[in-house]
Amino acid sequence: MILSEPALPPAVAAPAEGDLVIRACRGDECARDELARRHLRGAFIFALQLVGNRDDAMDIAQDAMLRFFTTLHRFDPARPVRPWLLRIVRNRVYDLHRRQKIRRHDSLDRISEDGRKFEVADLEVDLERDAERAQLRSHLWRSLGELTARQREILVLRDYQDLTYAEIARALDIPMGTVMSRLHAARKHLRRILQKDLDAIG
Amino acid sequence: MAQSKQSLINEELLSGYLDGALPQAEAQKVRVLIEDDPEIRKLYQDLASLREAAASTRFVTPPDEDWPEMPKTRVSWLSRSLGWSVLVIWLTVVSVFALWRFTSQSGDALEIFLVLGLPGSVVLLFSSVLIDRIRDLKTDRYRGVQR
Repeated sequence: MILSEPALPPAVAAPAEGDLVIRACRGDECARDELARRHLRGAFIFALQLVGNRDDAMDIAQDAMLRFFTTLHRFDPARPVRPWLLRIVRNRVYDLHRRQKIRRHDSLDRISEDGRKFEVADLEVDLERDAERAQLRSHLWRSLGELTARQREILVLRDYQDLTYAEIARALDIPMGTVMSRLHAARKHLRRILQKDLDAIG
Repeated sequence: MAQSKQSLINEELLSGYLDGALPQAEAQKVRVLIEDDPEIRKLYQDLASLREAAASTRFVTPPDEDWPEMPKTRVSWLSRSLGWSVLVIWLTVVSVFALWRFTSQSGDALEIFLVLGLPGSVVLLFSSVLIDRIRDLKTDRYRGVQR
């Protein structure tokens, strides 16, 4: 199974990512398994943050991982894998939407109508303050669906995935200068949506 | 007044400040504005709390057994595709041959059953799956996504 933990002795340090990429490129299946183990769940979470439901996210994450391996010969092992893989995920999400000829938030609406929920697990809801924060996280997650695709992806990459501006620029193939302005526009838009929602709730 | 102060900096620098992406001199300017201007401070605090809420959101990932096995290499993908192709071709050839035998030559019932029984039943089972798959394709939302 691709996600199984490797049986490494505790004293052995995990191999560097660049080495894994080189070995995987030569066809080393253990290296591929290790790369998948490290990144498949991250790819899934990013896909989930873009498409909003588990099944699509699993399909996209697996597909992206497979594509990552088939395009590995083009990848520079000196660079980190994550931005490259997230870029593949993002492109697969766009492909999916293009084929379905629907906009991303349309799909989220449909998912809501179907009764499926976003896969958010909140582990800290014991205290009142934490309950409020959990509520904010929940509102925030739902409000993401109302952003444009471009705003949503950049906000997810920064605030959920914690990528640096340079990594975001690489993942989205945009100039560094555009990252800050687009991100700020997304955050302000999200703030407006949340305020509107909270006003409506009263 | 707040508006005039805000116009002294590009507002998007607030996000840069929040993310620690500004050079020291610019960060200092933004810090002073946040301290001096309640409107900018409110905007900054709102953005900071949204960022904190996003960063602290935890997502459930599916357990290992929920992930379908996928081919890991081009070789395994090719082997799998080739295996299925050969199987389908073999079944087709055997079925056509058996059908030809059945229609062109007379044989006893046992011989016909022995020749046709296995491939015929496999073809029927395979066809039922194929028909379902084709029917699902028309409405499958995931048909564009490789599994």
